Amino acid sequence: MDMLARMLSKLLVPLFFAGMAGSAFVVIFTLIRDLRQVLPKDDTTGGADL
Amino acid sequence: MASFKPTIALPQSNRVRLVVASSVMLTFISFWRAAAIVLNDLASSAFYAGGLAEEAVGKAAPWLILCVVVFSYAVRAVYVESCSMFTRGGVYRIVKEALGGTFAKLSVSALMFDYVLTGPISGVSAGQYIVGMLNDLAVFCATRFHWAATPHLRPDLASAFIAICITIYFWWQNTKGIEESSEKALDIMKITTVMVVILLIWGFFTVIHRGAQLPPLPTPSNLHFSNDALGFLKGTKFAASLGLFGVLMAFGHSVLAMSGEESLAQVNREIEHPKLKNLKRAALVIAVYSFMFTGLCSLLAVMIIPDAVRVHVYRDNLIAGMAMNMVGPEILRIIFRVFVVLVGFLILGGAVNTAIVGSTGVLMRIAEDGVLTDWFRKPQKKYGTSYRIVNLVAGMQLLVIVLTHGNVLVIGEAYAFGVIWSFTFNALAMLVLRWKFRGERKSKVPLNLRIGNTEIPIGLLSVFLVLLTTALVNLLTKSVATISGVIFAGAFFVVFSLSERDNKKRHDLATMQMKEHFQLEHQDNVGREALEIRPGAVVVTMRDSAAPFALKWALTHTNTDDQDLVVLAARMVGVGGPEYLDASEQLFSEHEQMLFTKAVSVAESFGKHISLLVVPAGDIFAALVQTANSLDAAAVVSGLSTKLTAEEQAYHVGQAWEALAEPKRQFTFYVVKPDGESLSFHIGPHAPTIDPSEVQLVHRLWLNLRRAPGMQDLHHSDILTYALTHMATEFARDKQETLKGLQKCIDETNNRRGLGTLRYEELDESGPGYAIRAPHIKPDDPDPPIDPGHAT
Repeated sequence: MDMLARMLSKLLVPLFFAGMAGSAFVVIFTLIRDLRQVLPKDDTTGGADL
Repeated sequence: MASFKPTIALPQSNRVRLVVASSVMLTFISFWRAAAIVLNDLASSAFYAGGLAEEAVGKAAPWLILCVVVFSYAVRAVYVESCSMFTRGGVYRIVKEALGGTFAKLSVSALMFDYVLTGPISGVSAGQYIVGMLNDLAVFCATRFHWAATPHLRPDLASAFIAICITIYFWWQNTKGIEESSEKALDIMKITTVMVVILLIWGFFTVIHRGAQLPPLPTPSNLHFSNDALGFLKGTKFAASLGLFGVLMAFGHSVLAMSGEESLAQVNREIEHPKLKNLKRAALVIAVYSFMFTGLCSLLAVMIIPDAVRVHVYRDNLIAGMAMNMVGPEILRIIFRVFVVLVGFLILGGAVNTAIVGSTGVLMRIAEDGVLTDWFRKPQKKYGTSYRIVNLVAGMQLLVIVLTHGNVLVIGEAYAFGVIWSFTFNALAMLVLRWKFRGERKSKVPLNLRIGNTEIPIGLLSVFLVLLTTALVNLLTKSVATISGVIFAGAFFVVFSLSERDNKKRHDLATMQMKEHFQLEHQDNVGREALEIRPGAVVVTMRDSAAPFALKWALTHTNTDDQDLVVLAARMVGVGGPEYLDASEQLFSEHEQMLFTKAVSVAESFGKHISLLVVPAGDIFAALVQTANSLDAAAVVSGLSTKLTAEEQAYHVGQAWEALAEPKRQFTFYVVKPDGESLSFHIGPHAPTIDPSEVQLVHRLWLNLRRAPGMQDLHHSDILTYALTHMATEFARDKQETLKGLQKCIDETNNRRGLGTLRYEELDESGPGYAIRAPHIKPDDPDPPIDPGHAT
């Protein structure tokens, strides 16, 4: 188990942090894009009413 | 009887035309309601995620929860992309499209594990909040009133008991066919929002007032794993020097804060136009809410609740602990705690229901695909629900509660397994679809690097890597989850595979038989052309082949030479259902075959022709009204429901009609009782039925008023116009007084009511002389008059 854990650690840790860095950009870009897209009032919908 | 010259030739085939529609009849909701439904599932985790994460990784847990909450926005972007490709973009559909049936079954097995555990963890957590409050109140009372002994409930067992009660309650509600209501979800979220606002304002005030410190950052040296949190690594040398691997482990122990994405995919099909924009709005609302509630409240909890009691006393009811450790008078804190427990009970109870509804929906979805045998799809005799699936799901949830003795920690560990693996399968499938289907999507996860003709989805790959590495690490560190998850998912996978193989043989035979007996037509949308019927048809709903009394009544009262008769069978697709069922995916169950065969034999016994129509539906009343409108039907006949009165049925049909977009036509809705008696209701605006005494009153007024000077031109209608205008003015001025007067009038009318004075009439078998009639339509009349039927 010790050996397996060390091997996995060497493989997974870089992948995880690389993924986290990429995901951080995804969150930022998605947030900006979504805010730009959803904040202007659309003229065809009544979606905002409760 | 109406005279009508048929303009469309009827099919010559001996087989009865059976049209199977592909578009599901749905009602649509705003993004606020969609967000509320998802948050009922997602926000419930705020009640237990913080405590469980801190137990596993130590005081730095809130930072990891915040990290998970922020990362979940990236996962949501993956789900939004999947939903932009397939309106029903849940795990099953996406993985099936990308990786095939075997992977789809595997991913659904993981998802089922997630759903089956959502119920117990929410139920037990609700119990923990209630029991924690009762025990503390007992101590408070014992101290204040000098009780000789302090009553004390064992938190785990008492919580398990409460969870069992909640599960049984919702099992029964779902067996009866609970009405899914976004209204209820919205109400729960409103009251939860009030609690969150108080919690945040009071919490930040407490932090500032006490000068509390932020929790330590999640660096390797600040992470302190419990023995259980090490899982299979316990006792290894590696566990002593985890380094950055520890951060990855800690992240894995905090993924509980990220759930509910599957609910977003499921609710997507019901979101109103513009769908994608509203989906993104819902995703944004969810993100802000989960950041404020799950993220910030977990952080505040560590800052407000003293270390000595936070994990030891309040691990399983962390928000109650926050309420009790705020600055302010004790009585105010106790009142707030009671409020927290009430809100917790509502939202966690709602999550138990969401788990039953969600997992039932997923199982129904795969049953429709032939992965589960027909045995599971058989409707409950009285209520018409898929009770066997509901029984299976609720049974498994109860088993989990009993086996774990209400241990939140154990259930929480296992729950994370289902959450992370279903997300991982979904992200992998989306990644594969980037290569498999290169066409444009309405929404894409950002960070896409284009080199020549090749696009490298760096963003999507990043999200997938985080999910995959977390899922793999959880296999090592969550031993209970790994063992139970693998056994559960493996068992489900085997059941699905065997069931599918068995089903395929049966369905090949069933399809052949259906083709022999019926002229099968697959259509995207329901229309008169598809069924080759004339305007003004009669639509009859049929659910139970053993009791075709509504069809018999309709056949008695309809001359099919003048008016076409369509037998409608709704195929309920439930929460997990798709928005579109491909013709090849629609398999006929034994129940449906029996239904159609019975309908045809009843029609043959009357010597009359019928058409058969199958419509996938999310809501039966919406489907009924939409179908009647699409077919230009003059009447809809339905059997009396076992759950609703005729008036309630008519009310729901009326509500669905009101929600229908223009152009829409009115129709008469008939409810037939098992003994052949029937009631009729006019759907849509119509002239009221006026009692003879009321006509007399108008006439007497007219006689008296006409004697006055200048009133020679007075008509009866002028009196009604004046009276109604006067009432409208009075209502605008004093609503309560008008309502009081109206109620008095209703009471007096009811007291006068006797034989022959009813505002609606019950029809006996022979009928009172009126039948369901087609309107008199000239073949060239573009806007035919509507037969008012028997207005009520």
